Amino acid sequence: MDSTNKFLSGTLNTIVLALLQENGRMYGYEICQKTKEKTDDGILLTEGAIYPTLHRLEKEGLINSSKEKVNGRTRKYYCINDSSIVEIKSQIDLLTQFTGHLRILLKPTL
Amino acid sequence: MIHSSRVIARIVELLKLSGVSSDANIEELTDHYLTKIENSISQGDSEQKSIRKTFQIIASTNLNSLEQKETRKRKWLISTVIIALVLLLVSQCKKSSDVITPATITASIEIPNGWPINSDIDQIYSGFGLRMSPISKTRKFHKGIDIKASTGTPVISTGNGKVADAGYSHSFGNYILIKHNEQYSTRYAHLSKLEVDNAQSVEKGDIIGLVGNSGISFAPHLHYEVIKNEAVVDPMEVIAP
Repeated sequence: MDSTNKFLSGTLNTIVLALLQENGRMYGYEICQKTKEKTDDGILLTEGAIYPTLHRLEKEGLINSSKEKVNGRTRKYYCINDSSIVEIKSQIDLLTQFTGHLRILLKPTL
Repeated sequence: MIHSSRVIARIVELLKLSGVSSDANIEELTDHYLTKIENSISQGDSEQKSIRKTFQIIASTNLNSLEQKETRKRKWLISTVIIALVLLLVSQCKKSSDVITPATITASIEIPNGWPINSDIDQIYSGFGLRMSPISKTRKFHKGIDIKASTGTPVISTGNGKVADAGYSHSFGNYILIKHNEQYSTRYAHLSKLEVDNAQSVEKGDIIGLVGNSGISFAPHLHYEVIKNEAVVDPMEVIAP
Protein backbone atom coordinates (compact mmCIF):
# COMPACT_ATOMS: atom_id res chain seq x y z
CA MET A 1 0.00 0.00 0.00
CA ASP A 2 2.79 2.43 0.91
CA SER A 3 4.51 2.06 -2.42
CA THR A 4 1.24 2.64 -4.30
CA ASN A 5 0.70 5.79 -2.25
CA LYS A 6 4.07 7.07 -3.34
CA PHE A 7 2.97 6.94 -6.97
CA LEU A 8 -0.49 8.32 -6.20
CA SER A 9 0.70 11.59 -4.73
CA GLY A 10 1.31 13.24 -8.10
CA THR A 11 -1.55 11.63 -9.99
CA LEU A 12 -4.55 11.54 -7.65
CA ASN A 13 -5.87 14.94 -8.83
CA THR A 14 -6.01 13.75 -12.42
CA ILE A 15 -7.45 10.35 -11.51
CA VAL A 16 -10.31 12.05 -9.66
CA LEU A 17 -10.92 14.45 -12.55
CA ALA A 18 -11.02 11.54 -15.02
CA LEU A 19 -13.48 9.58 -12.87
CA LEU A 20 -15.77 12.60 -12.52
CA GLN A 21 -15.58 13.27 -16.24
CA GLU A 22 -16.58 9.69 -16.98
CA ASN A 23 -19.28 9.25 -14.34
CA GLY A 24 -20.74 12.73 -13.97
CA ARG A 25 -21.79 13.41 -10.39
CA MET A 26 -20.06 11.37 -7.66
CA TYR A 27 -19.57 11.47 -3.87
CA GLY A 28 -16.38 10.66 -1.99
CA TYR A 29 -17.19 7.11 -0.97
CA GLU A 30 -18.35 6.33 -4.50
CA ILE A 31 -15.00 7.51 -5.91
CA CYS A 32 -13.11 5.23 -3.48
CA GLN A 33 -15.33 2.25 -4.37
CA LYS A 34 -15.14 2.88 -8.13
CA THR A 35 -11.33 3.09 -7.97
CA LYS A 36 -11.18 -0.11 -5.91
CA GLU A 37 -13.46 -2.01 -8.30
CA LYS A 38 -11.84 -0.76 -11.49
CA THR A 39 -8.32 -1.63 -10.34
CA ASP A 40 -9.31 -4.94 -8.75
CA ASP A 41 -8.25 -3.70 -5.27
CA GLY A 42 -4.95 -2.47 -6.76
CA ILE A 43 -5.52 1.13 -5.74
CA LEU A 44 -7.25 1.74 -2.41
CA LEU A 45 -7.94 5.41 -1.74
CA THR A 46 -8.12 6.40 1.91
CA GLU A 47 -10.42 9.06 3.30
CA GLY A 48 -7.31 10.98 4.35
CA ALA A 49 -6.30 11.18 0.68
CA ILE A 50 -9.53 11.55 -1.28
CA TYR A 51 -11.26 14.33 0.67
CA PRO A 52 -8.34 16.78 0.82
CA THR A 53 -7.93 16.23 -2.95
CA LEU A 54 -11.63 16.90 -3.65
CA HIS A 55 -11.56 20.01 -1.46
CA ARG A 56 -8.43 21.31 -3.17
CA LEU A 57 -9.86 20.75 -6.68
CA GLU A 58 -13.04 22.56 -5.64
CA LYS A 59 -11.05 25.48 -4.29
CA GLU A 60 -9.09 25.65 -7.54
CA GLY A 61 -12.41 25.86 -9.40
CA LEU A 62 -11.92 22.67 -11.42
CA ILE A 63 -14.90 20.93 -9.80
CA ASN A 64 -18.17 22.01 -8.16
CA SER A 65 -20.03 20.51 -5.25
CA SER A 66 -23.68 20.29 -4.27
CA LYS A 67 -25.44 18.82 -1.26
CA GLU A 68 -28.43 16.52 -1.23
CA LYS A 69 -30.44 14.63 1.39
CA VAL A 70 -29.90 10.87 1.06
CA ASN A 71 -31.22 8.32 3.59
CA GLY A 72 -32.00 11.17 5.94
CA ARG A 73 -28.50 12.66 5.94
CA THR A 74 -26.58 15.15 3.87
CA ARG A 75 -24.40 13.88 1.04
CA LYS A 76 -21.91 16.05 -0.81
CA TYR A 77 -21.66 15.39 -4.54
CA TYR A 78 -18.89 16.58 -6.81
CA CYS A 79 -18.92 17.22 -10.58
CA ILE A 80 -16.66 18.72 -13.21
CA ASN A 81 -16.86 22.49 -13.60
CA ASP A 82 -17.81 22.86 -17.27
CA SER A 83 -15.86 26.09 -17.68
CA SER A 84 -12.65 24.22 -16.76
CA ILE A 85 -13.22 21.32 -19.13
CA VAL A 86 -10.37 22.29 -21.48
CA GLU A 87 -7.86 22.40 -18.65
CA ILE A 88 -9.15 19.11 -17.23
CA LYS A 89 -8.91 17.37 -20.62
CA SER A 90 -5.36 18.58 -21.08
CA GLN A 91 -4.39 17.35 -17.58
CA ILE A 92 -5.81 13.91 -18.37
CA ASP A 93 -4.06 13.84 -21.76
CA LEU A 94 -0.74 14.79 -20.19
CA LEU A 95 -0.96 12.01 -17.61
CA THR A 96 -2.02 9.46 -20.24
CA GLN A 97 0.99 10.47 -22.34
CA PHE A 98 3.24 10.26 -19.31
CA THR A 99 2.06 6.75 -18.38
CA GLY A 100 2.76 5.72 -22.00
CA HIS A 101 6.31 7.00 -21.64
CA LEU A 102 6.67 5.24 -18.30
CA ARG A 103 5.63 1.97 -19.87
CA ILE A 104 8.29 2.35 -22.57
CA LEU A 105 10.98 3.11 -20.00
CA LEU A 106 10.00 0.27 -17.69
CA LYS A 107 9.78 -2.32 -20.44
CA PRO A 108 12.69 -1.39 -22.73
CA THR A 109 12.45 -4.59 -24.76
CA LEU A 110 9.15 -3.58 -26.37
CA MET B 1 -30.30 2.23 6.16
CA ILE B 2 -28.51 3.15 9.39
CA HIS B 3 -30.59 5.60 11.40
CA SER B 4 -29.34 4.90 14.89
CA SER B 5 -28.36 8.20 16.44
CA ARG B 6 -26.00 6.27 18.73
CA VAL B 7 -24.02 5.02 15.75
CA ILE B 8 -23.86 8.52 14.28
CA ALA B 9 -22.83 10.04 17.61
CA ARG B 10 -20.06 7.45 17.97
CA ILE B 11 -18.77 8.13 14.44
CA VAL B 12 -18.63 11.86 15.16
CA GLU B 13 -16.80 11.16 18.42
CA LEU B 14 -14.23 8.92 16.71
CA LEU B 15 -13.72 11.47 13.94
CA LYS B 16 -12.97 14.15 16.50
CA LEU B 17 -10.51 11.79 18.20
CA SER B 18 -8.82 11.26 14.83
CA GLY B 19 -8.27 14.99 14.44
CA VAL B 20 -11.27 16.03 12.32
CA SER B 21 -12.71 19.26 13.70
CA SER B 22 -14.66 21.25 11.09
CA ASP B 23 -18.41 20.68 10.77
CA ALA B 24 -18.23 20.34 6.98
CA ASN B 25 -15.63 17.56 7.20
CA ILE B 26 -17.52 15.77 9.96
CA GLU B 27 -20.76 15.87 7.93
CA GLU B 28 -19.06 14.55 4.79
CA LEU B 29 -17.12 11.79 6.59
CA THR B 30 -20.15 10.71 8.63
CA ASP B 31 -22.00 10.09 5.35
CA HIS B 32 -18.88 8.26 4.07
CA TYR B 33 -18.72 5.84 6.99
CA LEU B 34 -22.49 5.30 7.20
CA THR B 35 -22.43 4.39 3.49
CA LYS B 36 -19.54 2.04 4.23
CA ILE B 37 -21.57 0.31 6.98
CA GLU B 38 -24.61 0.01 4.68
CA ASN B 39 -22.44 -1.37 1.91
CA SER B 40 -20.88 -3.93 4.24
CA ILE B 41 -24.35 -5.05 5.40
CA SER B 42 -25.58 -5.36 1.82
CA GLN B 43 -22.61 -7.64 1.14
CA GLY B 44 -23.77 -10.06 3.83
CA ASP B 45 -22.03 -8.91 7.04
CA SER B 46 -24.18 -8.56 10.15
CA GLU B 47 -25.11 -5.04 11.19
CA GLN B 48 -23.12 -5.29 14.39
CA LYS B 49 -20.02 -6.58 12.64
CA SER B 50 -20.24 -3.91 9.94
CA ILE B 51 -20.52 -1.16 12.53
CA ARG B 52 -17.65 -2.51 14.64
CA LYS B 53 -15.42 -2.94 11.58
CA THR B 54 -16.08 0.62 10.46
CA PHE B 55 -15.45 2.03 13.96
CA GLN B 56 -12.09 0.27 13.98
CA ILE B 57 -11.23 1.74 10.58
CA ILE B 58 -12.03 5.27 11.77
CA ALA B 59 -10.02 4.82 14.96
CA SER B 60 -6.98 3.63 13.02
CA THR B 61 -7.12 5.98 10.01
CA ASN B 62 -5.01 9.11 9.94
CA LEU B 63 -7.39 11.93 9.12
CA ASN B 64 -5.13 14.82 10.06
CA SER B 65 -4.66 15.69 6.39
CA LEU B 66 -8.26 16.95 6.27
CA GLU B 67 -7.55 19.74 8.67
CA GLN B 68 -4.01 20.33 7.52
CA LYS B 69 -4.45 23.98 6.80
CA GLU B 70 -5.57 24.69 10.29
CA THR B 71 -2.85 22.47 11.74
CA ARG B 72 -0.25 24.25 9.66
CA LYS B 73 -1.46 27.57 11.01
CA ARG B 74 -1.37 26.20 14.52
CA LYS B 75 2.11 24.74 14.02
CA TRP B 76 3.30 28.08 12.72
CA LEU B 77 1.87 29.76 15.81
CA ILE B 78 3.43 27.19 18.16
CA SER B 79 6.86 27.48 16.52
CA THR B 80 6.67 31.26 16.68
CA VAL B 81 5.87 31.10 20.38
CA ILE B 82 8.71 28.62 20.97
CA ILE B 83 11.20 30.77 19.07
CA ALA B 84 10.10 33.82 21.06
CA LEU B 85 10.54 31.86 24.30
CA VAL B 86 13.97 30.64 23.24
CA LEU B 87 15.07 34.18 22.42
CA LEU B 88 13.72 35.43 25.71
CA LEU B 89 15.46 32.67 27.67
CA VAL B 90 18.73 33.09 25.79
CA SER B 91 18.73 36.81 26.51
CA GLN B 92 17.98 36.12 30.18
CA CYS B 93 20.66 33.44 30.32
CA LYS B 94 23.22 35.85 29.02
CA LYS B 95 22.34 38.16 31.84
CA SER B 96 22.57 35.50 34.52
CA SER B 97 25.28 33.54 32.64
CA ASP B 98 23.35 30.28 33.13
CA VAL B 99 23.31 27.75 30.35
CA ILE B 100 19.93 26.58 29.07
CA THR B 101 19.80 24.81 25.71
CA PRO B 102 16.75 25.31 23.46
CA ALA B 103 16.23 21.54 23.56
CA THR B 104 14.94 21.76 27.09
CA ILE B 105 11.91 23.78 26.10
CA THR B 106 10.56 22.07 22.98
CA ALA B 107 7.10 20.60 23.36
CA SER B 108 6.96 16.81 23.03
CA ILE B 109 4.23 14.23 22.58
CA GLU B 110 3.50 12.19 25.69
CA ILE B 111 4.50 8.55 25.28
CA PRO B 112 2.37 5.85 27.00
CA ASN B 113 5.37 4.45 28.88
CA GLY B 114 3.75 2.83 31.92
CA TRP B 115 3.67 -0.88 32.80
CA PRO B 116 0.23 -2.27 31.85
CA ILE B 117 -0.32 -4.54 34.82
CA ASN B 118 -0.58 -4.08 38.57
CA SER B 119 1.11 -7.14 40.03
CA ASP B 120 4.28 -8.12 41.88
CA ILE B 121 5.00 -11.09 39.68
CA ASP B 122 5.17 -9.88 36.10
CA GLN B 123 6.63 -12.36 33.73
CA ILE B 124 6.80 -11.88 29.98
CA TYR B 125 6.40 -15.16 28.25
CA SER B 126 6.22 -14.00 24.69
CA GLY B 127 8.01 -10.99 23.28
CA PHE B 128 7.45 -8.77 20.28
CA GLY B 129 8.38 -9.92 16.78
CA LEU B 130 8.55 -13.24 14.89
CA ARG B 131 7.74 -16.27 17.03
CA MET B 132 6.34 -19.76 16.82
CA SER B 133 2.59 -19.33 17.26
CA PRO B 134 1.40 -21.48 20.19
CA ILE B 135 -1.95 -21.96 18.41
CA SER B 136 -1.10 -22.57 14.73
CA LYS B 137 2.47 -23.87 15.33
CA THR B 138 3.77 -21.71 12.48
CA ARG B 139 6.12 -18.71 12.49
CA LYS B 140 4.01 -15.59 12.93
CA PHE B 141 4.70 -11.98 13.73
CA HIS B 142 3.66 -11.25 17.31
CA LYS B 143 2.31 -7.72 17.45
CA GLY B 144 2.74 -7.18 21.17
CA ILE B 145 4.01 -8.77 24.37
CA ASP B 146 2.29 -11.39 26.50
CA ILE B 147 2.55 -10.88 30.25
CA LYS B 148 1.76 -13.84 32.49
CA ALA B 149 -0.64 -12.99 35.30
CA SER B 150 -3.49 -14.64 37.14
CA THR B 151 -7.13 -13.97 36.27
CA GLY B 152 -8.41 -10.85 38.00
CA THR B 153 -5.06 -9.02 38.12
CA PRO B 154 -5.79 -5.31 37.45
CA VAL B 155 -4.81 -4.03 33.99
CA ILE B 156 -3.86 -0.37 33.97
CA SER B 157 -3.68 2.33 31.32
CA THR B 158 -0.05 3.08 30.42
CA GLY B 159 -0.79 6.72 29.65
CA ASN B 160 -3.47 9.42 29.63
CA GLY B 161 -6.02 9.08 26.84
CA LYS B 162 -9.48 8.12 25.72
CA VAL B 163 -11.02 4.68 25.09
CA ALA B 164 -11.28 4.42 21.29
CA ASP B 165 -12.73 0.91 21.31
CA ALA B 166 -13.78 -1.52 24.02
CA GLY B 167 -15.50 -4.77 23.18
CA TYR B 168 -15.15 -8.41 22.26
CA SER B 169 -13.54 -10.06 19.26
CA HIS B 170 -13.00 -13.72 18.41
CA SER B 171 -9.22 -13.53 18.64
CA PHE B 172 -8.62 -10.75 21.20
CA GLY B 173 -11.48 -11.76 23.48
CA ASN B 174 -12.46 -8.80 25.67
CA TYR B 175 -10.17 -5.98 24.61
CA ILE B 176 -9.61 -2.24 25.05
CA LEU B 177 -8.00 0.18 22.61
CA ILE B 178 -6.87 3.49 24.10
CA LYS B 179 -5.94 6.45 21.94
CA HIS B 180 -3.40 8.56 23.82
CA ASN B 181 -2.66 11.24 21.26
CA GLU B 182 -2.19 11.75 17.51
CA GLN B 183 0.72 9.30 17.51
CA TYR B 184 0.14 6.64 20.13
CA SER B 185 -2.54 4.04 20.90
CA THR B 186 -2.31 0.95 23.13
CA ARG B 187 -4.31 -2.30 23.12
CA TYR B 188 -5.03 -4.68 26.02
CA ALA B 189 -6.48 -8.11 25.15
CA HIS B 190 -7.85 -11.41 26.58
CA LEU B 191 -9.38 -9.60 29.58
CA SER B 192 -11.89 -11.24 31.91
CA LYS B 193 -13.62 -7.95 32.59
CA LEU B 194 -13.73 -4.45 31.08
CA GLU B 195 -13.87 -1.62 33.60
CA VAL B 196 -14.21 1.23 31.06
CA ASP B 197 -16.66 2.20 28.32
CA ASN B 198 -16.15 3.52 24.82
CA ALA B 199 -15.07 7.18 24.70
CA GLN B 200 -14.29 7.29 28.42
CA SER B 201 -11.27 9.38 29.38
CA VAL B 202 -8.57 7.55 31.31
CA GLU B 203 -5.47 8.65 33.13
CA LYS B 204 -2.14 6.92 33.36
CA GLY B 205 -2.40 4.30 36.12
CA ASP B 206 -6.20 3.94 36.00
CA ILE B 207 -7.55 0.39 36.26
CA ILE B 208 -9.27 -0.33 32.92
CA GLY B 209 -9.95 -4.07 33.19
CA LEU B 210 -8.92 -7.41 34.68
CA VAL B 211 -6.58 -10.07 33.28
CA GLY B 212 -8.33 -13.11 31.81
CA ASN B 213 -8.26 -15.91 29.29
CA SER B 214 -10.89 -14.74 26.76
CA GLY B 215 -10.51 -15.04 22.97
CA ILE B 216 -7.76 -17.21 21.49
CA SER B 217 -5.65 -17.71 24.61
CA PHE B 218 -4.13 -20.75 26.33
CA ALA B 219 -3.71 -19.45 29.85
CA PRO B 220 -4.57 -16.27 31.73
CA HIS B 221 -2.31 -13.49 30.42
CA LEU B 222 -2.34 -9.93 29.14
CA HIS B 223 -1.57 -9.27 25.49
CA TYR B 224 -0.29 -5.67 25.30
CA GLU B 225 0.32 -3.71 22.07
CA VAL B 226 1.70 -0.26 21.43
CA ILE B 227 0.68 1.35 18.14
CA LYS B 228 2.67 4.35 16.92
CA ASN B 229 1.53 6.12 13.76
CA GLU B 230 -0.72 3.17 12.83
CA ALA B 231 2.09 0.59 13.10
CA VAL B 232 2.82 -1.71 16.02
CA VAL B 233 6.12 -1.11 17.83
CA ASP B 234 7.95 -3.15 20.47
CA PRO B 235 6.33 -2.18 23.81
CA MET B 236 9.60 -2.89 25.63
CA GLU B 237 11.21 -0.03 23.67
CA VAL B 238 8.47 2.30 24.88
CA ILE B 239 7.97 1.27 28.50
CA ALA B 240 9.99 3.42 30.89
CA PRO B 241 12.72 1.43 32.66
